[in-house]
Amino acid sequence: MKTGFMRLMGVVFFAIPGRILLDVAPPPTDIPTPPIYLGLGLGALAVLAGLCGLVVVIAVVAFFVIRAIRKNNAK
Amino acid sequence: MSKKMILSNITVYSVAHALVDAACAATLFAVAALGQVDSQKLFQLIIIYDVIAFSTQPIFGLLVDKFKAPAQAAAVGILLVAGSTLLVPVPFLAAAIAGIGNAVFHVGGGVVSLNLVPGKATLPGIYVAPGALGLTVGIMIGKSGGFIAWPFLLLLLGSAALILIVPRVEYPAPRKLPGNLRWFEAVIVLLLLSVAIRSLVGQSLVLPWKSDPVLLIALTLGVVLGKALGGALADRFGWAVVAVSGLVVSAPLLAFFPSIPALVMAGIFLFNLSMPVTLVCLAGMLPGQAGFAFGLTTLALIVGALPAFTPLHTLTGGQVFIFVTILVSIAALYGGLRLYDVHFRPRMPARQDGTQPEEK
Repeated sequence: MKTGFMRLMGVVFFAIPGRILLDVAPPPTDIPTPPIYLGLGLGALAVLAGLCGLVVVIAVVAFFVIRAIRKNNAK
Repeated sequence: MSKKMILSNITVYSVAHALVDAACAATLFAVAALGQVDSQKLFQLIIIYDVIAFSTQPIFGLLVDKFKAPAQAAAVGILLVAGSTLLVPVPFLAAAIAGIGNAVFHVGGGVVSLNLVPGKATLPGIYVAPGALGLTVGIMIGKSGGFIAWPFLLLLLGSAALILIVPRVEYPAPRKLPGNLRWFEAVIVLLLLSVAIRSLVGQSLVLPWKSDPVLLIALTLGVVLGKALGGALADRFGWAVVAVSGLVVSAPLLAFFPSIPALVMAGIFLFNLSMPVTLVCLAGMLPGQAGFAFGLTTLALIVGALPAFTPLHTLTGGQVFIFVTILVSIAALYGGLRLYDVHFRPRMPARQDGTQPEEK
């Protein structure tokens, strides 16, 4: 595979000082609203925590499935 | 597999994908537009829907792979989403049912797109791409207050019928990965890391002009074209060349020019070129487990997106942070593709059509 990757990285690092020097972007006019989770009640936070726990559990299960697939391929 | 069969399958599934995402988004935002929930509860609904829709796909993927029933799964998913459009009066149930239906459909359709021409990134990209357009249109419909369920019902039921009618795609013959598997987990972790970081960046971008509907649609089209063309360009010119260079050029555009729509749109297009490549590469690492592979990418998406919904968003939205994280994604993607190319690609048996996947 060709290694033009470093050439591309050179292009990227020229863009950074170019951006700083030119400063062409106008200031943003629309400040994004912050997330509203701060006003959530305990019940809602518990649900959100449960959902995060679901993600963690599924990630752990996926990890063990990947390990099992590897072992199955190694036999 | 005939070209007619490939064309009919990819058309039906990609259009269904847009419809499913549109219906889910319209249902969720209609709940708020109709005054049934306040902004806090809408936030909860979106989180519930996103977590269920994205994180459960590995599990549904395993089931689809075990029973080899992707078309049936896609049809069931569509029916669940169709049912959720009638549950607007019960918002949290609607979000949960829509999430489950979306997950089941996505996995089913993903398996079909990966198995139509195994080892090629074109069709998975075409399948995934319309979802972004459906999502944007659905949000607009939901927010407008003019959401009506029956058009979505008719279109979804029609697409489910078409999915059950089109010729079925068979799973490839089971095979094992030969040789040294020392790098097996490393390739998978690197590819998923790249996906997660790209998701984080996508959620964290602060674009002040997104409230303009014309610019929003144009931005969405950049996402759609990036995903749709990324696979085709990668199959033609090389997976690593297209995917990695796309991310490299997109990094400064997205990080340092958020107020210039044209540059951000170009950056978003380039940013999304890599999506089909990571998907098909991951499927190549898990032969016979296309559903599980597809689900892993969506799990990575939600893991990457979650920090943007927390106090960390003040950090993740910074220009330097975005730039650095894209560079990390580039490194992970490059490393994963390089390891795949060196350790697994040469050992992969030729595909059934007698050709080898293109890589340069």
